Amino acid sequence: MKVKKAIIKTGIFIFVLFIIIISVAPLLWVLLSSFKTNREILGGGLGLPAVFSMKNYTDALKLAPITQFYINSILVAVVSTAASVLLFGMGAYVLGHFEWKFKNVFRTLFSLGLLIPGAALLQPLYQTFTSTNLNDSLSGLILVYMAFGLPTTIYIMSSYFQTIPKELEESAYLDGAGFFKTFIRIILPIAKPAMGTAGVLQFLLSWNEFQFALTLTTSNTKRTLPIALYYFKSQFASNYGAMFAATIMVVIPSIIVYILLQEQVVSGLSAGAVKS
Amino acid sequence: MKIKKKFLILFLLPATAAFIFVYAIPLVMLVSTSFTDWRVGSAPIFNGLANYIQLFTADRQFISAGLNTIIWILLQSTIHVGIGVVLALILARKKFYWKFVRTVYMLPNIISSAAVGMMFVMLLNPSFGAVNTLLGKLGFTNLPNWFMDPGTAFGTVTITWLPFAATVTILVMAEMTSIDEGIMEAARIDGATEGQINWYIILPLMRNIIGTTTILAATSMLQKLDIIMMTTKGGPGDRTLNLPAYVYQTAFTSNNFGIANSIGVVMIIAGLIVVGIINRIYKIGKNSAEG
Amino acid sequence: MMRKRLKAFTAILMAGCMTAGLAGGAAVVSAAEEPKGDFPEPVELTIATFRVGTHNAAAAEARYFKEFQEKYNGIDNQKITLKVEEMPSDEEYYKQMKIRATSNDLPDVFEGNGGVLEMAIKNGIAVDMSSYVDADEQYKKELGAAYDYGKQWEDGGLYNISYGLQAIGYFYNKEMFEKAGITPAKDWEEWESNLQKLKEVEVCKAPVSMMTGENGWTTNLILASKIGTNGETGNTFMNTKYVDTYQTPEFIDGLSTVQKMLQEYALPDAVGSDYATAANHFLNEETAIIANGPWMTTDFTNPDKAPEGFADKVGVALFPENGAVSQYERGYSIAKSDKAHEDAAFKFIQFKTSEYGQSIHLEEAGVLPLTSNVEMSEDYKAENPLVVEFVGLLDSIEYKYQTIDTISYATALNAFPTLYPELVQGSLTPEDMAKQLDELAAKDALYEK
Repeated sequence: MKVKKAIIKTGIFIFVLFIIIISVAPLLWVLLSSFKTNREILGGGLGLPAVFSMKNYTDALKLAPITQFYINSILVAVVSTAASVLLFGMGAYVLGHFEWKFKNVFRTLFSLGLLIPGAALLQPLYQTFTSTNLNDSLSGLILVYMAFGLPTTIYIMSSYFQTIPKELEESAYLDGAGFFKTFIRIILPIAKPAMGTAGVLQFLLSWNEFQFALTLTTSNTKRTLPIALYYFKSQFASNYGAMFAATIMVVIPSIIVYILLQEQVVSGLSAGAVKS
Repeated sequence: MKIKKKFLILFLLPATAAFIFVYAIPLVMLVSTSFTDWRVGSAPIFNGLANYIQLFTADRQFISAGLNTIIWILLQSTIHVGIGVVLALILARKKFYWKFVRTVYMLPNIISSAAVGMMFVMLLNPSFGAVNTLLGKLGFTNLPNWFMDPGTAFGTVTITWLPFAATVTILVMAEMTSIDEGIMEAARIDGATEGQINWYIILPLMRNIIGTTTILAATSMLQKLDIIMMTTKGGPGDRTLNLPAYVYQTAFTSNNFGIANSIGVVMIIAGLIVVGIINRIYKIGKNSAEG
Repeated sequence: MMRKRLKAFTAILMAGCMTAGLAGGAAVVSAAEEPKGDFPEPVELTIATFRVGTHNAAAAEARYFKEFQEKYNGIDNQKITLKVEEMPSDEEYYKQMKIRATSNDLPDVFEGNGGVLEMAIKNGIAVDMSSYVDADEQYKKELGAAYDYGKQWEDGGLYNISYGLQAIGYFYNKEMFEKAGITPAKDWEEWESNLQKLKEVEVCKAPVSMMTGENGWTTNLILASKIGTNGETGNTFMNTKYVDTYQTPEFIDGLSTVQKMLQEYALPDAVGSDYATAANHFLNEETAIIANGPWMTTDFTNPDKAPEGFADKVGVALFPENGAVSQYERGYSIAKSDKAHEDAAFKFIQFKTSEYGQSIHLEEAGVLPLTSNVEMSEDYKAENPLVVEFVGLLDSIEYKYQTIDTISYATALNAFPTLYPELVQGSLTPEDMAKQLDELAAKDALYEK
């Protein structure tokens, strides 16, 4: 029995270790590469750079309008995340928690977004955006990203709302609270873990999306960070060092946001006690 | 539970509005132009089912892209989801390191896929890549050019999608927070092992979210494009070509929007079938209690 | 050094313009005539560019924009402001142009590669620039043969004006050639024996830097050369506008050559890697040969890319049989708009493709000028001996041909990187590959037959 337990434990340990390695390797590799020269990167060594120089970082800031794009990216990602969790959370609530007639129609409708190939959306969206004057605007990008995240947000949040016991609201109604108030005061706080995860995914989507950002914006005052990463690669003159330095600069805020939102998810653990 | 109509409409409004603006209009354009001869820069001309007939009868690339996509959907919704769920179960029990591992595991999903793709290309380079260097030192010879050898390309691309399992893990773990600790306590007192608790108590309660993540994982294969374009471009031959890459190629290389949109319609129908099947299997949307 | 001189030149030019402007202004005051300029109302010109960031011509592009704005900043009632849209990566640029062409929303000045111009002409949204150029003899002379090149369209209209000549041979490592006891090959037999010798004496990891990723650039240059120097039929093939069939003896012969080279004379990572990796092997003295154009020479002296003193070891040569790629860049086109915008767009294109514009491109980005009238400055010559040497070789070219990129429908071109790995593995014969390329070419929206 003891031997069996030990084997299982070692198995689990190796599995987790493997996961950690494949997860940390990319970031570590990018981080190390961001201090290397192009020669060192293309030479493929895994070791440390000969000299830890910040040249790639200063180059990156010179070659691409990173600072400007940074502000736009923060605006777009934060607004779209907050709005999506709140506004689409409402939809997820009625989808996950109540029985009504056309529920399955709406469910299917919202999941359609997962199935449409992005390449097929580019031209139609460009057309709609230019004809509604939403192109080249941050609010346009926010709207698009919210919609891109819509299926996932609805899925995640509605499946969580489904697990919330109905007695909770019933007692709230008995206390005289209205529908909207109950949603804000009672349901949302309980749904923190789901909001956290949906929020993380929405934030990452808005922070990393490149193709539509490039198509739907034209001026540098409206553009976001992923576009900046393409300033370092042209066929005959790539600067990989600067590209990785820029990647690091781009990735740091998302790591911070991820860790912060994770706290939400974690704190949901204790909230679970409230429910029982 | 019943809901008043006015609240129903009010609460559905934002999501529906976003859907109509961003998806519904393009969707109508997509479906209607899939029956036309529409090339870049020109107006669409109606040609009935010609595009579809062409695709299913005379387009070798479309058939291989379709088959590859189906295989990837199967792999993604079984193996990758499996890995994610197992990890979630392990991590939930070990409060000591789960927070760390969970954060770490998500990292590849945080970095732009361009950087991840480039890293894979470098690590697997046959001349100087770390993987072959390491294997060479261990005494292996005749090492493959992972992304480019006809025999290894497909498997190698599949591995680059492994980090997606992290999303599964965080979703399942978030849902696990809703489990009443009391049930598990009771089971422990009755002498159940951790394995039994996982299998008989937790997993059934996680049915909904596992179904949801399976849908997300499966349908993500209808969007995967970046890493393929960065690594194999669908080659060697058509061995790693998938439908998103083929839509992209048809629209922006061959300049044929009409056919690209027909492929898009086929993908949407295929996707609906996949979602339907997964819904059936996991009975998503039915409350566990009412089950 | 050169920059300083050009700056001084610009300053003089500016001063000249300003005096003219003042004189013009005075005339207006005295005679109270209507404005004489072409643009009584200020015009905002939209230009999209992929020459940003690390692109070789990014500095040149920035200079064009700046100088053009200064030239047309209201003097003589000619006020044109530029609205520059930056689109990093040329691949993305052409994709955006396709999306925009479909919505009839192209920028005023655009570059029409990848089928964009063909589509625009067909749908009547590109402007025929003949009347502009014909009215300006001096400028027409500055374009040289590129004028006729721009008129190669069915209706004889001038829809694109080239900004430079693309001439390409190959670079080699003189030290390694010496050790192997060889000189640049005169014919393809010698080419192969050279590779064999380089391999035997082991002066390098592999004789030649090749790559099949991206668009298979360095590999396809050798393929193009083998075909283009293969008699008249081969040469005609390589000068076709769009190739309808690859199933010709010359193309298949070329593929066999490249197949063998990839199998025996290139590094294992040639299959699948991108240009940067192939170039890096050459720059770090791991390979002896790389096919590429003169713009690469700046890398030889770049300490971030090559070891010190590397530039002195590099020689440049024409391909065997005195062959070289020699073709015009497609260049710029104008999207239909109102007269004022079209006029302004032409002013910009003229500015960029005039002799003065060509000289900027040459000295800042290594783009060869359209005619030999554009002289290199002494400073430039001193700093870029390899470019000078290569330009000197251009007179002895016997076979001129285009790149595979230029003669291929995009759909066929796109398949080279995915078919090469199979060709190298032997799971695809050159004949089969040619056949598959034909099938793919027929899928292209431009394909007509």
